[in-house]
Amino acid sequence: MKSKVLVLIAVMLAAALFFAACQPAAPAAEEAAPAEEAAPAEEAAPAEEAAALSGQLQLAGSTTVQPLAEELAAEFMAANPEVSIDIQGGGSSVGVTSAGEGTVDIGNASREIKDSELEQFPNLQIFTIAYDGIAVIVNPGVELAAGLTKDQVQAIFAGEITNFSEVGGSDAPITVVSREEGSGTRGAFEELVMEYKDEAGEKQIKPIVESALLQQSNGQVMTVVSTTPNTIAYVSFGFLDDSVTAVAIDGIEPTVENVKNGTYAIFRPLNMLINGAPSELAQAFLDYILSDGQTLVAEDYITVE
Amino acid sequence: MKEIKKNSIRVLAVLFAAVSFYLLYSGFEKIISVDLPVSLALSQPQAIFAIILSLFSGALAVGLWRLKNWTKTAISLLSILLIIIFAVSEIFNFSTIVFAGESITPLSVIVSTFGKSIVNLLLNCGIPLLLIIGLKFVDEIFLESETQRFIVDKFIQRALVFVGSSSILVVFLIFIFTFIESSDAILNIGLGELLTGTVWRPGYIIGDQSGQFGLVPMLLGSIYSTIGAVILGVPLAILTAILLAEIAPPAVREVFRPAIELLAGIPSVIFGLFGMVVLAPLIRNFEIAGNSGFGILNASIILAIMILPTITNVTEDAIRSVPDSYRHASLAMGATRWQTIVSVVLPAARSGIIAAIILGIGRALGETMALIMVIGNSIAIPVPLDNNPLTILLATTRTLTGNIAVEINYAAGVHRSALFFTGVLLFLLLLVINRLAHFILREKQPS
Repeated sequence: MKSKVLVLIAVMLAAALFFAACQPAAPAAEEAAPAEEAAPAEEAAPAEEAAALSGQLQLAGSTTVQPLAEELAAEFMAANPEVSIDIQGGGSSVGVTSAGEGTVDIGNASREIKDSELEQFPNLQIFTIAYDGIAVIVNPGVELAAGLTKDQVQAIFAGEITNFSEVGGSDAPITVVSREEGSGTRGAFEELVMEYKDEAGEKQIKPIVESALLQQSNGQVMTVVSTTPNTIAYVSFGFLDDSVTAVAIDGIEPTVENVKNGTYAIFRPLNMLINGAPSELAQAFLDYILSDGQTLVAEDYITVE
Repeated sequence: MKEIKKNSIRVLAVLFAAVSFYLLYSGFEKIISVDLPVSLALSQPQAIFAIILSLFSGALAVGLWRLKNWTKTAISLLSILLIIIFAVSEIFNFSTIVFAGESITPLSVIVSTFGKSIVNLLLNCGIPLLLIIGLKFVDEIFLESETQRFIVDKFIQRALVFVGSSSILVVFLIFIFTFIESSDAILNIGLGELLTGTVWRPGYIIGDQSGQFGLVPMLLGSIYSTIGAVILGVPLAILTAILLAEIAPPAVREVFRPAIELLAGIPSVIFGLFGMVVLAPLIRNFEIAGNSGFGILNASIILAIMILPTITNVTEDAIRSVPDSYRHASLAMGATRWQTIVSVVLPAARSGIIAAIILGIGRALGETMALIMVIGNSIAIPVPLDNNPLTILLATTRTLTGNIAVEINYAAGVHRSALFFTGVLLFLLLLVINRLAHFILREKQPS
């Protein structure tokens, strides 16, 4: 027993000394090369940035804005290596509250900010970075040749129309898929589609039917609709792909062009919120998004103009 | 031999005394503000620390000289502490080098840094290690006193009581914390609406506390899915336990037991995926209008699979603990194996089986992640889809646990408090079921 332990210790010692002796061959060469590259890059850039930007930015909020913000942040961080930007989700309501309370530097929201929220956080500044359309999608097995009207969509999601045969499809009960209540996509959908005027002429919002299946992100909605027959849901333009069928509303196809020319009305602003005056780094990030960043926005969303 | 060991300890005592004197010497220099030769240059606070250290070292020296047991323990513990400190700082340095920078460090750098760390560690820890090993060698020389034995015994008793009560304390604190967070909801919404309301629409708008917070749909969802899991899972589990404990030859047992233990180890999110991707299309084969594949049936099936290992293990233990004399007596009276199992063994193992079922129910009530993925999360009270009451199994619903998980991220104010109340409700449900189990068991105990 004792000799085994001694042998083990001796082997470990030998291995440790061996590893310590192994020096990596490349570090000297590696250090020489990046130093050369840094010099010409610095000479090209000094006119653009008087002082190199550095620091950290915390973003949180909408899961719709999150992928877009991550792409923009990656480009911004590549241009400014001393900057680090961290983006979390949580939903638009979380974005508003975190920005208002100062827990994060910038809050993301994929809907208009409510009056009650502005009352609670009077110093909240709203910067719209893009517009995003909301498409109504159905499972590819559902045949709706003529599309749907907005009233039909409202009735379906409110549970008043329960069978696809009532809107020109086959005889199958409709399974509604929706998002959790804190979702900005859901909030925007409710404001834009589920709104109606009651007897007193007041604007009310019809609640989405109780039996709707609730999913927690655009991605999960896509998964459920693409695999479950006779489902209908709403989803952000940025997530549309071939696995689901996007429905034309009042004859207008849900495309970026139709939002731009004003014919497709179901879209909402993607907002970044800051409480009080933005810090230098936050202002720089926002300036980047509203100028060069719009080319990135234009790939899947609608630019600000 | 003993003399050599005693003398080596005495030498160690002298070394400690020397260190003590040196520290005293260096500390003194600062106190009396005189430059003494060959001393450590210390600052004021360091000097005070050095004097304290020297007193401690002197005490150790005296203890060593007099061969006291407490000195041996103290030195060993201090050495272990030093080794831990060195190890932690080496790990810290290693991580700083390996994880620093913006690109992945190449393997050769990692390996060489690791080697250097080990060498560094061995050099630093050399003395403490030698001390520990050396003291182990000369163990028998040290004298153990009566007082020390008494103190150690008492200390361990107290320590164990403390450790045991800490777990009770944690449960208690969790309950108190959840209850305090939910008090806002109890006061503003009222127990009446929370426990009997049938609509859950928080619709919480900041500043405007409108919203309906009725937990009945979630309560029913939890209860229905648990009942379904018990109906599907308990017979399966008990029969499996009977197989493993009574009937299977050892070779078969060696195949089944690891499989069931593997089942217990699978993370619940994987069961959720299984339910979403495999079970949902299968359930959709029932040609009933409104059947989406998600719902109570889906949830019950995967819950049954999840609670199977728990119930099987405890039931098997209970069956095994039935004395063989019962079985022999029954067989001697002419009963067949199966009659023995059903009429003699199972009733005798009754309390264990009920305990197993209660454990299973507890697990089923507490399951969150898998159920969120397969039960649909709709806020409606589960009702049959058509005239056939069995189709309630195909209704989508939401569980109490799912309610918390889906909404806690963005809930605020009264809504958030209501979600904590959901947690309190879960606690109480489990408590009630546990008490019920105890009640049933106590009734049958006299037999």
